[in-house]
Amino acid sequence: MEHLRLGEFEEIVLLTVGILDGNAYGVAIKDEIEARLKREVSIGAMQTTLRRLEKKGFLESQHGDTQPNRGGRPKLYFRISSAGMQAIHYTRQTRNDLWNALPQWVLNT
Amino acid sequence: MKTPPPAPPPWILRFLKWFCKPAYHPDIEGDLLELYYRRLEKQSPSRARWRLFKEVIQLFRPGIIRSFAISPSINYKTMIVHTLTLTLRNFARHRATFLSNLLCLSLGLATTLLIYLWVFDAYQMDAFHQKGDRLYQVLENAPSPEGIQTYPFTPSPLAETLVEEFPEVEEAVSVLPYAWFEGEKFVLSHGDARYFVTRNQFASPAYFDLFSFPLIQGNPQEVLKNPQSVVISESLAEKLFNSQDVMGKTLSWIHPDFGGSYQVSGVFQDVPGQSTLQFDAVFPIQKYLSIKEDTLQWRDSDPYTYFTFKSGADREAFAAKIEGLLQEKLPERQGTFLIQKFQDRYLHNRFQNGKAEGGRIAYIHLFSLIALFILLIASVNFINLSTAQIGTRLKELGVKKAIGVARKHLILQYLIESMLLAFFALLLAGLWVFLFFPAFQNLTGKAIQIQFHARLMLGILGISIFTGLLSGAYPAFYLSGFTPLQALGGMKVIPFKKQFTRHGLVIFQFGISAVLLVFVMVVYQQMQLIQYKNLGYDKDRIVWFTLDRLEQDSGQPVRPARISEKKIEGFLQALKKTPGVENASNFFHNLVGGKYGTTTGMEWASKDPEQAVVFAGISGGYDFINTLQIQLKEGRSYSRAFKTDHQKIILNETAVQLMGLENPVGQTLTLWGENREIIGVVKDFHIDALYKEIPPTFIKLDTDDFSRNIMVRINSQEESQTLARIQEVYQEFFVAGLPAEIKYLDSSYQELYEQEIRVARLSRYAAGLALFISCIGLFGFATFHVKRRLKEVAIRKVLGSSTWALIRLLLRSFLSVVLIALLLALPLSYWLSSIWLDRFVFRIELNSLYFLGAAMSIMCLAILTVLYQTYRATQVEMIRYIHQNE
Repeated sequence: MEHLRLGEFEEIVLLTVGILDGNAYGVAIKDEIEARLKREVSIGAMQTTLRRLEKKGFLESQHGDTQPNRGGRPKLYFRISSAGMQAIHYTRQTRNDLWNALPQWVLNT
Repeated sequence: MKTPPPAPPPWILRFLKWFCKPAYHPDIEGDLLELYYRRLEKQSPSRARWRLFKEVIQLFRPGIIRSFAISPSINYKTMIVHTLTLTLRNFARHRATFLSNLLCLSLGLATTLLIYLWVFDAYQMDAFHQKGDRLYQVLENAPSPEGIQTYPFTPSPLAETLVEEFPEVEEAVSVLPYAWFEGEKFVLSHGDARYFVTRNQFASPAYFDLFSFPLIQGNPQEVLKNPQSVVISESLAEKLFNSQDVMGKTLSWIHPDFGGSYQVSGVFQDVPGQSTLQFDAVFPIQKYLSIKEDTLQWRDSDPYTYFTFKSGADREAFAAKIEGLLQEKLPERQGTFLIQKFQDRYLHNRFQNGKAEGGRIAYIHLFSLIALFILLIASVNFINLSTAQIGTRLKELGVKKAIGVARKHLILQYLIESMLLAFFALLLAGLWVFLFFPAFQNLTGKAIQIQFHARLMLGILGISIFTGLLSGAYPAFYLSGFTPLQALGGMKVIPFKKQFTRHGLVIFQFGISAVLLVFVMVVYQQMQLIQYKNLGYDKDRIVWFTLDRLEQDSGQPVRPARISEKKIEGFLQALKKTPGVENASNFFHNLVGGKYGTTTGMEWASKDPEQAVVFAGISGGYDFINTLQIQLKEGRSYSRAFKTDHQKIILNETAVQLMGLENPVGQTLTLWGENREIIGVVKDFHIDALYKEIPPTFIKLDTDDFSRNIMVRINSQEESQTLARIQEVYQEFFVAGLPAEIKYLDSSYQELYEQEIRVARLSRYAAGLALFISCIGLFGFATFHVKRRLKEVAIRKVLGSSTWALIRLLLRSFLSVVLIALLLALPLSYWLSSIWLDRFVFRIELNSLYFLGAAMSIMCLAILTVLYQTYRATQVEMIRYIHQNE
């Protein structure tokens, strides 16, 4: 299942796209991550990640509407593809497996 | 209403667009802008801008940056190769246009280059002195009846005073340059009966410190300390002593005042050609001052004074301070001082009302302007010829446009084409410069050194790039703007405005050519006037030279005495007996160039005692008037038959008129307190340049050493043999081995007008070039114009128009353009010519003939140029062109 593996930031971006469900374009994703995780997101890092995820087939994109404050440029909306869904499920599964394997006494200390 | 928020700096977005993958770019830019405008609401614009910039920089990373290896849309390399191929093919197909274009541009460039070299060289004069930016000369403004005159002569105590009394001055020297002695012949020898005519000057001890004439031997501070020392040039050392090891050796100067032996204290490198100060030997000025003790005062102005400012000194304040120094030192002196940067002296060498105005710089400007105009005409030509080809090139353009070639690529193609042509033209121009450089040097009368400074090279490159761009710009931006439909549809769509532009170009060319042509004709006529003007004497076949006060060097230091009257008379008699000599006389003043003495010391009976009248005075021997063939009006000339002629006087007509004498001969007047009887009146003759009026003049008899210039009229047969015989006689009477420097009076006369002659010659070439280039331009214009009207011509022919009528019709359209050019140009040329003529008192009248002549010749030339094209047009196959749909 190697092809489903995600990096930490990839996972965050993918999940956020899912959270925004249909409204996920660049600025919205950035805002959402910054609001929920209280961490600064650079456009550069985010865009590279988005494009990488799209290239891997985890995201699908579609040009949308524009607004005057975007200088006439369209928004690019992202959606999780089925492969992307598999990937987050896979990630969650592997984490859960690990959590479950964690001995109780280690958690309590 | 709210003001719109400030837009982000476009260059940031351009940068993003440049590196970002095209597929990613639109929405990323949208996101960035959205964030930017959002931040603007809360933050300052500068902060928002900074954040935007930071984000763009963060985006500059792998994954976002596009591939630069091969452009996804255009293959530039292929495009450029394609453009070059097309360009070369176009050259090959339109060989005639290409060659004429190349010729015009290269000639224009070569002219500009040559003149650029000349100008550059002129600016290099005296530029080699290390202290040049602080090196100044003091000049003296003296009031005179003709306005303020500016002289380089200053009182000899000035240099010392400058250093002592003015803290701004670092060093100052007095110099009596060679030119100061007005061509006096200085002879140095080394005791073995070999003589060398040298250019000697006197200078203060700090001379070699102030000026950068490097010493090969000797200490710059010391060499001029001892009054009996001398510093000589490298080549003089070699000539005199046949060695470079000359320190401490002695040489003798054979001269009545300064003669004696001097010890060599230093050797300097030969003075470079780019120095206005030219000399072979420098003597301490103390020597001069000790002999001419009376010049040690403020009363007289003799030496030149040079000084250096301390760095940081206020030069203008200093100039104001020393202006009145002369009167402070000696109240009865009228003059004031002014300073001029030494390096500027060469170009700014004319003074008017005590201020530097014009001089060589005026010619520099004039010829720079002419060069610029010729280059412009050549460029205009290129534009004209390029658009003349429009018919054939338009289809190519239309096809290209139709298959979607971007406008900028078309512009690029035309620019590359013209740059390439400019480059070829530059190569050819290099060849022209190489070929014509010797002739050009001859023309400018100056040994120009080609020095390949970075600035010069950059200038040359800049000129050609500029020309290429200028020449290509018009077709590039004009043609590429056509729509495919216009381009493919033929030339019908060219709006009138563009035609007007092209006519404008032709008008410009011919206008400039006409101005130049009229100027050339006027200058030529004026020069003819100067050459052939009846000067009141006959300057042809007269040679003159100066007697040397020399005696055979006996190995001892010699101080020659004055030449006795008897010896001069004997020499003159011997000359007269020489075959080929018609007459000979001695005289004092230089006969050309107005270097005669003037005096107010003339008194006569009816003179208004209040009025000071300035007379010119000339001195000459018995045969002075006869030899020069000055016309006698009344009375007689000086004669050996009368013993008292030394107390007599001869006047010119102007003088008689001014004095208001009825029967002048026999009357007595007083010159310098001595009574003199008028024995004759001569007709007016020019002793000055034609810039000035003939002054009232008297001729005095003078037969002694004072008038030791000799003039000889020779007859026209065997001139060179006669000259050799004169030389023989001369060496018999004077020093064997030291020949006289015999000059033709006529060439001395020509030297006066050297600059004018040069202008005449240079402008002749310039006008010829301009006309030639313009005609080629008109030829191109005619080609274009005739092509456009072929259909019209065909229809007219079918309807029965005769060939002659057709030619007239076509000619009319060209000639009207040329006519407009002439109408615009002639007033301008009138104005220019009058300015140039203004300096001559004796000048040609500007009559309408010059303008008509120039206009007619340009018209004829224009008709000849277009006649062939026009005639060919009338011989068209009618059917072909009537059917033509384009």
